[in-house]
Amino acid sequence: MKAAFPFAAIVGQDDMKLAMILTAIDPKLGGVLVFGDRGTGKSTAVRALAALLPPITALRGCPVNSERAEDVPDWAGAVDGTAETRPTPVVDLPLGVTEDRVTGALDIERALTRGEKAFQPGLLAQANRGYLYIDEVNLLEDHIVDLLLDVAQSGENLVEREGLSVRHPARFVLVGSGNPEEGELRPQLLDRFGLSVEVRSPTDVAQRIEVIRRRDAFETDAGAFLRKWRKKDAAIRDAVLAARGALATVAVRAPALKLCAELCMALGSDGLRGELTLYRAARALAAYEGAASLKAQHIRRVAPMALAHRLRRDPLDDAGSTVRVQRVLEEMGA
Amino acid sequence: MTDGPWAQAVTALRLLSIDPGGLGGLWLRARAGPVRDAAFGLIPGLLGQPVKLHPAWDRDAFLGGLDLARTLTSHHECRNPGLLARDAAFLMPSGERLEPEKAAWIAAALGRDGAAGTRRCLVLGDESGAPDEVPPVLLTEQLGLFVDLTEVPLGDIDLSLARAGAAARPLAEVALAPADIDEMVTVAARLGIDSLRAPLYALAAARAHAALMGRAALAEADKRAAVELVYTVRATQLPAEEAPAEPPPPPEDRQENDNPADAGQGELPQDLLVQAVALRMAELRIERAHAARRRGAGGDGAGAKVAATRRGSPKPSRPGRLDGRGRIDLIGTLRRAVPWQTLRGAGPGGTAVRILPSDIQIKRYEHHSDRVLVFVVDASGSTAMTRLAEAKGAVELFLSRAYARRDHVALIGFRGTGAEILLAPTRSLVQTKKQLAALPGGGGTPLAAGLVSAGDLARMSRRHGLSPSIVVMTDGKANVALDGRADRAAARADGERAARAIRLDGFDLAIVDSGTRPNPYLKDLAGQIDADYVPLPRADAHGLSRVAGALLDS
Repeated sequence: MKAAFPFAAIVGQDDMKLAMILTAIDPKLGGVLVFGDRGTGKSTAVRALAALLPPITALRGCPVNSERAEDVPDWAGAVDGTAETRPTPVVDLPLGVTEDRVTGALDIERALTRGEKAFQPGLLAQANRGYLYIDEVNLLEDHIVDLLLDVAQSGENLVEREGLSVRHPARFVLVGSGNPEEGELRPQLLDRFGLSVEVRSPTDVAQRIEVIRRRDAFETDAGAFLRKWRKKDAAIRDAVLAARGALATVAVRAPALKLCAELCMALGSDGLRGELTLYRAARALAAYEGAASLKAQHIRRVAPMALAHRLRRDPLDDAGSTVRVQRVLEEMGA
Repeated sequence: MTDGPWAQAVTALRLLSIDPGGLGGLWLRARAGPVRDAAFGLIPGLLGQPVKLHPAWDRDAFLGGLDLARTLTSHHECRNPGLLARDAAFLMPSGERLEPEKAAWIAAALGRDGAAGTRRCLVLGDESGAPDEVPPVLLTEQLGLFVDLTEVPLGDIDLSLARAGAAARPLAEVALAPADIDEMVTVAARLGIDSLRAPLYALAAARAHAALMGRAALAEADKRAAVELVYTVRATQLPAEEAPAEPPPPPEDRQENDNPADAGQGELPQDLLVQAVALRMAELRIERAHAARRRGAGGDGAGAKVAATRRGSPKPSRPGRLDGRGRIDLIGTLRRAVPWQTLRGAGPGGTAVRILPSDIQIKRYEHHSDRVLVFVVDASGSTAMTRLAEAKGAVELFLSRAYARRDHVALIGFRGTGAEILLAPTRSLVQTKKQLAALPGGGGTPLAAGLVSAGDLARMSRRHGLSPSIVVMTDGKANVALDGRADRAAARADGERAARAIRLDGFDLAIVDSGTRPNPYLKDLAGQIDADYVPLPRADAHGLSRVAGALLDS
């Protein structure tokens, strides 16, 4: 297994990095969608995030990474009570994956050799309390998408097979990446992502050179490169941990909530999910910056990523959704 | 060292053998024939015996699955790892037929370890001649090198080139200077290459080339070979000042490219690299116009590609119920039932297979209802700009509603003496917006040419498994005949013939009359060939989009 590129060493792409950090602070934000040009380091950032995240505590042997004994599903077999730390799970959902592999299925080996019905957990179990990453998310087969939507909504995976009825918690942060030119994403799935960011190749040659230089340094001597960036990665990790703790203490006053609501109304975003996400994302940002209360500037910063993908598409408006959000922000003088 | 495409192909394969992980692979455009076979014939010697892949193979072949035969005989779960799990060079001969989904599997397999130590790489053959039939970009993006052997005569094949031996120096001994990095990135930027993978591939190729030549640092020749192999197919623009540039110097001049005299002409080495790519592009007739469009598209018609491979290609079966609508996949059902026989109490010696409803697998084919709507827009005369703008709006409106129905849209404009496909069938709103940013207008009204072009596109789409419908928007003042003459009578006659041909092929056709007063000629025409006639004096995007929707749903 190759070491991941350090998160702190990713040049530019501030929106993408911020969105990922925010979901790490508040997993309830509901995932990040990264859409954009090829070769802009989308996958690199996800793998880097995985390496950056603080480890979780889970019971040894628990297939769904449970922290407490009562959360361990009854089919899990022998789980001893000792807790262990494991890295935050970041599970790849490859294209072409079978339904069985995603949801889990009966254990063929045990059925064959011992005639036993036993459940073999799938990717959703592995991803519980962690991240589920889908590259080229717009090429994912429809039935897998439906299945993910169900589970993401309920936070629980239910499998019925051979008279076996199995359920287990499956709460994960969905991270999707893709290129819009391969095809659009279904609106249902789009809405399910809390934040969405567009990434582009840097247009500045100096920045591009820096990207390639760092990449080359990493490939030439990964160890030295990682050592060089370890401190900065650790600083981000500490800030994420501190922000998680501070999340509940960020004071939220009425004007800030009013701004969220007004913004969503002005943009005509569907449903209340947008408002809730905007609020949560802004609060996570406030916590990350160590602010005592939620301010308009936090809302302004996260509004494009929280709302851009929820706007009804107006094909006759040439401006991208992000620009429209910014335009409304300016009009409101927020 | 000669500079022809054959030598380039040999070089590419040798570079790939030096650094398979860093370069990812070679996209080899060549028609089926002795030249391509000769190139493929070099692979075992250079890259080891390749694992052959075929676009038609199913999921299990690529990604593996339960090996039923072995599982049953051994009474243990045996899995077949799939071809993509192998650590070897892969060879996919007809990449233009590859579906995006399978391409994504391969791309994921190639990108898995990425770095040193892997032998994984892909030689992707591509028999396509037409720009609308290219392998999926998500895969070609991950192949560092590109060579076009289409124009290579058999006589150019020189197998001795491949026997030149291995790298003269280990790859690890070739050092990159910071200036090399800057240069490669800058050249990529000047050629309009957005992806940051490209400079990485170019650097890897240059290093491998230096290793091949036994150099410890990059020489001009290494960089030149690298940019030719990596940037030519990716370039989307030529820097303006060099675009109309000098006529290509005779090949003799280019052979000694590390000749110091060459670099001593007061030009930056960068310029030489850009020129090298420009020359290659000229050789491949990658015109600037085409390149400019590609810059917009970025996807080379990926949308159309999705459609092209839809129809008729069976998808993996899925569990389902026997409701009389689906067709049972008998083998799939048995495969699913068999591992559980012990569990279901069928004795080891028993002959009956117990099948439960949950085993039933239903065959699936990709939906046949993929439709493509061809907008044909009159871009002639004074109102051209408004009409085009409205047509563009209609296309985009239509696409924004079409996501659920998975409909494709194409746009043809006709003006002056001919018609032009402004937008090849696509489903991507993003691509559409980029391509339709600027549209040309003005001139005569070659209605017939527009209709002929629409008919051709419709027929092509049908071959790709789509069901086309055509919407023509014009004021009907046809005045240019098919042969380009300004002859009103001939123009009308040609128009009728072309419209009739469309209907004879069974395509739905709607004629939208955008003139201020209904044009009897159009109405008659529509009546004669049983096409829909819709007068829409102030043809706006919404109205047009409605007409199109009605036509499709009729």
